[in-house]
Amino acid sequence: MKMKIGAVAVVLTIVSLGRSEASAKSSLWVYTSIYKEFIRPIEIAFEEENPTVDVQVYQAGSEKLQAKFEAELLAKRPMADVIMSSDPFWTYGLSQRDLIIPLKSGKKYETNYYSMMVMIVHKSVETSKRPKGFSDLTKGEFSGQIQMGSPLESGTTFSTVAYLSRKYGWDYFKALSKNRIGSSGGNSAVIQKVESGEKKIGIVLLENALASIKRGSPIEVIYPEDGSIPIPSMQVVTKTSGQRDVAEKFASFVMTPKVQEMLRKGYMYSVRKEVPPPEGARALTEITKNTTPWTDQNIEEVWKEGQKIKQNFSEIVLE
Amino acid sequence: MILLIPLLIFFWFPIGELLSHVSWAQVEEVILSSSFTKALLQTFWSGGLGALLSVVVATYFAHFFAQAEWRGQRLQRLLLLIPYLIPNFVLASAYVLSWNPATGVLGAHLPLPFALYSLSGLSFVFGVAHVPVAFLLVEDRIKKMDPALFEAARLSGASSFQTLRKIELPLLMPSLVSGFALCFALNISAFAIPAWIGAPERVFTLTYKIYQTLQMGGVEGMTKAPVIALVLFLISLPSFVINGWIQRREQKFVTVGAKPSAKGGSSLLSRRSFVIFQICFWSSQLVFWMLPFAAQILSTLVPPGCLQLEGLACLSEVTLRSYRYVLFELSETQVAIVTSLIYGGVAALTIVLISLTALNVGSTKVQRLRFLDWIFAIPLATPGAVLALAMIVTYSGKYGINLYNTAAIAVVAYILKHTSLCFQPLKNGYLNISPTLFEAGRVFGATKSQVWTQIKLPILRSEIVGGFFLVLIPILGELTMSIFLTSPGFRTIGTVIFDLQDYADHASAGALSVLLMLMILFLNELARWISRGRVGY
Repeated sequence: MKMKIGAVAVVLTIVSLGRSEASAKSSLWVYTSIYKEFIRPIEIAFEEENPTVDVQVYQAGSEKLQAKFEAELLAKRPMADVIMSSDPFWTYGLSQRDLIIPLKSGKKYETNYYSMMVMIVHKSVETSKRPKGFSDLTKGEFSGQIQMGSPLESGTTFSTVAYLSRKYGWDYFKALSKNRIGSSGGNSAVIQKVESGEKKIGIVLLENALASIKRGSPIEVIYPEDGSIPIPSMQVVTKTSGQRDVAEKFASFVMTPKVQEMLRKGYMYSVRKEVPPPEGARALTEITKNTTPWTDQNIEEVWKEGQKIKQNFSEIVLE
Repeated sequence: MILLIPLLIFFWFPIGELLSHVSWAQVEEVILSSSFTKALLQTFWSGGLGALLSVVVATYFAHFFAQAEWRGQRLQRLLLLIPYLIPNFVLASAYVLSWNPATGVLGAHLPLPFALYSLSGLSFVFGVAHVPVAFLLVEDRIKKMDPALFEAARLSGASSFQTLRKIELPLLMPSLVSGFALCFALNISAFAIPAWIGAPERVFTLTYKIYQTLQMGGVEGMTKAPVIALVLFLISLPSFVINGWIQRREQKFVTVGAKPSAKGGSSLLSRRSFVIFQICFWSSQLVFWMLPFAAQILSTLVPPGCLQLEGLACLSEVTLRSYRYVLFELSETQVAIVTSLIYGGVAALTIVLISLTALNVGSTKVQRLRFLDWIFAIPLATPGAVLALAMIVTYSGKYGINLYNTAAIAVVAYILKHTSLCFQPLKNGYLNISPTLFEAGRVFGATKSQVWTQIKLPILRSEIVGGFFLVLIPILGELTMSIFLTSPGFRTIGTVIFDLQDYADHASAGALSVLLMLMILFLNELARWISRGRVGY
């Protein structure tokens, strides 16, 4: 009997530990893949303008953000009010699954900034021996020297693979595989491989590259001649949000020049034309001259073909 | 019941909930894919070879540490345990820095006899990481052996080999098998080492497949991951079955005295074998962790990539920028240290209490203890990410209990995942005590609780303290579960390191890892100082 009481006591203690304290302010949950260092000022600025709102942020890479939100959906208790993810296909999928509501702009989802996928090179590599565009990476002279993330692990790498496979076909990846391209982890892993000199060339997000250069990393950015790859970050308000007005207000706030300027400081490209490019980066129009822009149609196609793209990549590059 | 009910509620129910979303077609899709079979074999081999290496190295060293005394022994013992104090991902990244095929800073002067990015490399790093776990189990066992047995064998004319084969090995067997099973379970459920060492050359393990499935698999991935986790558990079963079989004979070899046998072994160990031991010890420790970790520390003091590009010449550019940043500029660090210590301490203390309760429940009945061993080992072999997501799905209020976004959900997950690490050494120590001692206590009128407080607990003191540290250390640097279970006000050192790593600030991530290790060493010394040497390593 004593033991049974003990068992019940253990369970009750844990449950009582779990009770969260009620707050006088209303909580707005924002799930975002914007780095903590840059989302924090946005959170503070919004709270200053809306003192009755307590913004709670869950920050993680788009993949973990996705896993957490899907787990909440399985539990039938989604927490997020606003989602800002750098995986445009998953965000698009949310709209197709009827999990979001239209924003004030009338759109179901909207791009709030752009990340750009570019190439980096170790600074010890002579300028004449550097690739000029993504298409150059299939040349034999770069064999064994290239590193990219894995589309099975990183949302932005998945977007890159989706883009390049549509632009150059899967033969391009067969050639990369023949060139012994390394593929694992996400952007951080790529930077580490290149800055340590283990690999000479990397495919990586510009914002990560610029931040690393500022910290003294021995890498340099190559803006591909065949066009940098835009990774649009999309924001949505969830259908299950208990405070849609505040959530919509937050989404609108992110689009203001003030917040767009904050995002620029995080090395991201603003969607507002009047906001200049990030410090140390070239103008968006310049680096996307040869870029094929994402459209709603091809976002939908990639969303539908997601598994097939990962499978093809696995078979060609990872096995 | 006291143990099974919470385990049922907090482990089996969440895992079952996650598995309930799996369709048979998904199971077939996962299991029949060629990449799965390959990953399964690679998991099995790397986990097994790594565990074997850990047990062999640990046994050799434990033999000397338990049977001899020399000046500086405690320091050497502490050094031997350091790979366990270093979070796995720091150890793995130190190996990459030191021995990556292109710019490994140690590769030219001290090449490894195999490629780092290979199955052999993966097994080696697994082996190094878990030598301390096997060592603690085996050393304790040897300490409790009576040296008179060995002396008697020698006097009867037995050779060293015969003594080893006929006396020492049979006595050690339960601990060797326990050590192997524990290391194997830790190896196959590890994530950081396969991610750093295996993935670059496509040596994927099942935990890595789970990670990939969860990362980019959407809702389908979430239901496929527990299927792989289930397979992972199934391959850990044979080692636990053999462990159970060996331990059926456990009570044949017990300590009758209340105190461990006095060290009389120094006379048994020849000067020559001691010198060989010292050479093996220092050379192995240099390769296992001292040199790689020194390179890792150096890399946190110089600009990124400098060490690989300029070697020791970059010492002229030494800066404490990373340490200054994580200690004084990054506000999350202090919160994370306090949070990790408080909740890690609560979890570790609860685990010790659970383990003692389990011993009380199991009493001296080996069958019961073996069963408890099994049920604690299952969560250990379950990948942290799967456990964390299962807890989110189940304890977000769907079934009336809402732990989500509170520290409690993480504490429960830590307890579930790490109980086996504490229970194993405690159980081994407990079974090593002769039941006649307890009977004698009862005969002289001691109550059940008096037998516990005056006989069992004093004898088990070192296992209890060891068990506490054995679980506190991995909890302090825990990452795979914490990343999903963080909530406002709950940030751990592991998640802050992960964030820094994710933002490609490797120097700061390395600096915080070094500080974490120093903190663990400080706690250990503090414990020893307060207890006048009775507590801590």
